[in-house]
Amino acid sequence: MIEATEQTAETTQWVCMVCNWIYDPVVGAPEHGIAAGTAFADIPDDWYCPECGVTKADFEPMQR
Amino acid sequence: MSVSSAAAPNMASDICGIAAQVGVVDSVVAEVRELVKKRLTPKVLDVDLKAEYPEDLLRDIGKAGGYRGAASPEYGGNDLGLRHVVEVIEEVSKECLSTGFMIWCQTACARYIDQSDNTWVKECYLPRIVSGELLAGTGLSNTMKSADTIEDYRLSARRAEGGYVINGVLPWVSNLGPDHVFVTGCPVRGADGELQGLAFVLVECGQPGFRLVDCARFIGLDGARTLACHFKECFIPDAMVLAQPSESAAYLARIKPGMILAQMGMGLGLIDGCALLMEQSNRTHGHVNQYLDDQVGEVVAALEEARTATYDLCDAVEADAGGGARYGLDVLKLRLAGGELSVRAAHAAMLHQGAKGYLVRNAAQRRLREAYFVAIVTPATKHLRREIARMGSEAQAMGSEAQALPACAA
Repeated sequence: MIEATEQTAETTQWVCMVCNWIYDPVVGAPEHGIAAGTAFADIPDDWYCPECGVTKADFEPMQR
Repeated sequence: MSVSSAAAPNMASDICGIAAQVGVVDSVVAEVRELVKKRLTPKVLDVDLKAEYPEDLLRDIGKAGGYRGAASPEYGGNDLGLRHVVEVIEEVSKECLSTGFMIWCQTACARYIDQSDNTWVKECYLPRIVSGELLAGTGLSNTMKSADTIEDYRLSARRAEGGYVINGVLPWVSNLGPDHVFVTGCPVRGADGELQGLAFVLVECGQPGFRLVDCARFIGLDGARTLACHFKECFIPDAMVLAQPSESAAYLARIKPGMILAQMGMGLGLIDGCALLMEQSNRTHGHVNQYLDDQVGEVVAALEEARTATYDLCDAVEADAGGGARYGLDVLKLRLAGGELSVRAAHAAMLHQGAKGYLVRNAAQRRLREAYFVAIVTPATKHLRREIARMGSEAQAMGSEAQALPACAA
């Protein structure tokens, strides 16, 4: 059960609350230094949204 | 080869404007008109399509005196005030809204400083800003929206010895560069987290703890050097504070009317440019354009009315010791009309031009994209409508209360 929850967390998409840019951990953001498969939590804190420049703090899990 | 030089001749390059402007044209405005004709018209597509920042032109408009309406004479101003600022923005926006917007940024920053009580900043920075030597932006969009409870504050400040330490990110601030300055305002909270007010500060983009991030791409005005501003434990000394928390409410009330009203220069210039496109199309297609809803005569009439109202309100705001706070509702209503008329005029220009207006190098589609900027830049149409409704309700409530009060003895 714990394993399933962690897997879900690692595939959760995150959306920038300022510009709506979406981070998909499956795809990553290779052109911005984030390899495919990187969970949002593992992205460095000094990374910023490629679309508007805000930091990780302005992202929220994508609601389906 | 530049995009602009490869472009088909722009039929709308006669930037003297279509709507009658009464009175003698100011010599500075005339010089700015020449600069636009010689330097901006050939580059307008590069600014629009290649996000080229027209830095040299911005500096030369400053040298010509284009920003001097924003400052008091003792700090390099020309004593012509807000109306002159609007006239210059308008003249440039007839051709290119991106450049007109940057002039608004430059003069808005100058005006914020001029309206402050910080003599040192006025002496040190204002003459350089109004001469175009120092380029400047305004990072008050989030401050204004947060103050009007539309969104949360994106910056926070805490008191430190001799100044404030600021943290946070402002996503989109225009007319910036490593050696530029801009004004922003952020909430100051005490140790208990209680809001003490806003601190309005002048920020040097090259200072420690501050970083510019260039990432956003826009469908219009992409040459306006719009960057994200990162503050990380960024110390701003008291010498750079334009208004301390205790005086921030009065300061904001003082700068707001002029800041919003000056944006009318963008709308007026753009509408004029759109009317010109319509008129040019009518020379060959008037027989079919006559079936469109908005005709050039109607747009020009609305433009002339808006221009007169803008200039009159500029004079009133300038003459008011409170920075025009008493005209707040009038300013918001006029600004709302300016955005709506901009979109209407650009839509009409696009329909007049027809299929040729859909070409990448045709001005009509650019003007349409630019028109939406007038309608969405802070304060956006929805923001303006909300504030107008709120102020209207408050005025109504005060009227009801006054009626309910017993009559005072004369």
